[in-house]
Amino acid sequence: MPVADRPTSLLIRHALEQAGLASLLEQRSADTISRTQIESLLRPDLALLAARIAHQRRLEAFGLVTTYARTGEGDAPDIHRAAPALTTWAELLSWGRDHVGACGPRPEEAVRLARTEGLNAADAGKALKTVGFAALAPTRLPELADDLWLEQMAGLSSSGLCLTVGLPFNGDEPPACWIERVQQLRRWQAHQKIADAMLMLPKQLEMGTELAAVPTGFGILQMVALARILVDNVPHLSVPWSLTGIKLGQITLSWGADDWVGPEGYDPGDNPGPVEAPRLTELISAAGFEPVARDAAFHLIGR
Amino acid sequence: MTALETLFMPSPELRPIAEKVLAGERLNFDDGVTLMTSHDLLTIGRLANHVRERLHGDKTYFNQNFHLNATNVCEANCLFCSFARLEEHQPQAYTMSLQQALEKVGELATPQTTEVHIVNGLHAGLPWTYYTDLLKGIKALRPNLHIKAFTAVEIHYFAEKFGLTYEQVLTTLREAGLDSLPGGGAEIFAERVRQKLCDDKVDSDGWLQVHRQAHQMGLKSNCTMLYGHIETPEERIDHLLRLRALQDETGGFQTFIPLAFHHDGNRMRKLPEPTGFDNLRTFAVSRLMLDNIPHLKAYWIMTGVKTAQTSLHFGVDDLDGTVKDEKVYHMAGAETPMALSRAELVRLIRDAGRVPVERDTLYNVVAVEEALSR
Repeated sequence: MPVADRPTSLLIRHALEQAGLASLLEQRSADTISRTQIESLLRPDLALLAARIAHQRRLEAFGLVTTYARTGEGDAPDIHRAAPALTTWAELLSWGRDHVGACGPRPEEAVRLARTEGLNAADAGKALKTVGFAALAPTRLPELADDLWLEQMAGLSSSGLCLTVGLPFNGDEPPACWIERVQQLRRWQAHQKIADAMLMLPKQLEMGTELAAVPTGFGILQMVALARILVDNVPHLSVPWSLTGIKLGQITLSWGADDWVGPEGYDPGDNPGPVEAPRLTELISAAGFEPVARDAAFHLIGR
Repeated sequence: MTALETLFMPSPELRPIAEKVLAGERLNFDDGVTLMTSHDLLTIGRLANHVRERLHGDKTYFNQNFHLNATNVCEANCLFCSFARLEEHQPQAYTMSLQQALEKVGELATPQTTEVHIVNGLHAGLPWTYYTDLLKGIKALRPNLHIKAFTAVEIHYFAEKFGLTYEQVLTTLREAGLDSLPGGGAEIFAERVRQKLCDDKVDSDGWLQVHRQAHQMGLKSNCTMLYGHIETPEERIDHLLRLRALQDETGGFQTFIPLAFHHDGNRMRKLPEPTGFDNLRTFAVSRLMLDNIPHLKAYWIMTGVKTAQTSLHFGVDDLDGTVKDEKVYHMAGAETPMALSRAELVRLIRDAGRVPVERDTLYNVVAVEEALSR
């Protein structure tokens, strides 16, 4: 039987063509993704196709390497334990000198302190980098990001600091709104580099939260795949397993994620408790990937 | 090989298996081991999803049920069990009186509840009438409630303890109100594993014989596999094939339920639990191997709600139910909710793009919910 007529080929081609996704495989830039294609990527019945495309994008960028941030172990800076609440710019710089390579405060906080000394974001970034910070703590992509936010991020990033943009999402928000925001992020990034990594931030169940606002497991996976496909110019897609549960976190590695934030944290899933680095590497390996520890700036520091 | 094939089915070893699946051919032992050891989760998922949609389309079943565990005092000493207590006086050991058990039924059964799922420890001190009176009492209280009760392990224990054949045990229980059998106690059929984990309860042949007998009497039953502990991939596939062979013979299994091992509170706590990846792969491979068992159920209590929902695209077509008052796995450390509301089950199914179908135990449709429009 000719290869093209074999059932697997027919099944795949039929599914892709029906969904209008066949051409997506040839598209090398996410800025040409059409609205129809995005709607197809959101269809639950095509979720595994979307995952496969996202997975392929991730393999092209990183192969099987899956990074994880080791935390609180001295040799590896802590992405969660950012510089403690510091009240002055001088204190912040002093803290940075004592924690070379460490992760600093959130960008908005760094800029706020720098302004008290009359510094702009770019100068603040240079100063932070000079004293030894390698990265800043993740900031959330605002719902209505303005020029000031963009200017701050671009200024800090221009200094070589590693920046991570959190992508918050709710279970009851129309996907179109979220997609518009992440596509905006891509457009900004294409114009001027502002981020090295994206961090998925699913809404958590808290007091007063409507259950419908909390994304389901399947909803989280769909968003991971979409983020990977739609934002092709921010290198890393990081999943904090402390927000997804360790089991779903492991599954996201097959849906486009290439980085895990951890290991110290608390798994809110089926088996709550701290997850140590050896278990993380086991889980990454068990899913068919190669675990590699990284520092706060996504430099690989150990296999 | 087309570019599309390379992209969407990158593992060469899976391609011949995929051809078989799409052609509707039966998979063999080697195919199963290849699948169970593959890291190509998305391909395995797509194949399982293909079979699931061929069988059920988008329909995803659930029911409104509750669990009754009347005693956890148990003569069996299974290493993986966190629920059982060997003797009555031990901490956390309990045995409900008949009145207490029936009060529990009255408390948990709502007008919408269609099923009670009863599983107990193997209690040396309870008379035969305890079980028959329990069933009669429930039927007197709620005549329309389907009683799915007593694993094959319990049926075997009753036969040995009370000097009856399997047929006599099942006949008497059916006359008292038994409607079907749950699938628990199968664990892993491989004798090597069974000897290490649970050598003092019914063996594999006995477990299968109980279900064979039930099926021959017209009783439906479910089947399970406890995975993710010391068993090998080969032993998992062997387990599935033994179930498939019995199903070829009797056709009496309705649903297969893979049960993820939990380690808290038992003597296997040093072992890691199965991962999310392994859960999805096991579901999908089960769907592909068990081509003659209609339904595949994700028991959300053991896998977690998120993984269970995702499994609806990895071969699963049933999310169990509201499952009020489950004790066996919560005592093993399951941190899943003690129950899910009907509305939450419907939301989970709809959000995964499936059509929620409320069923009774025998898969008669109770209500169909509309799919979520996107």
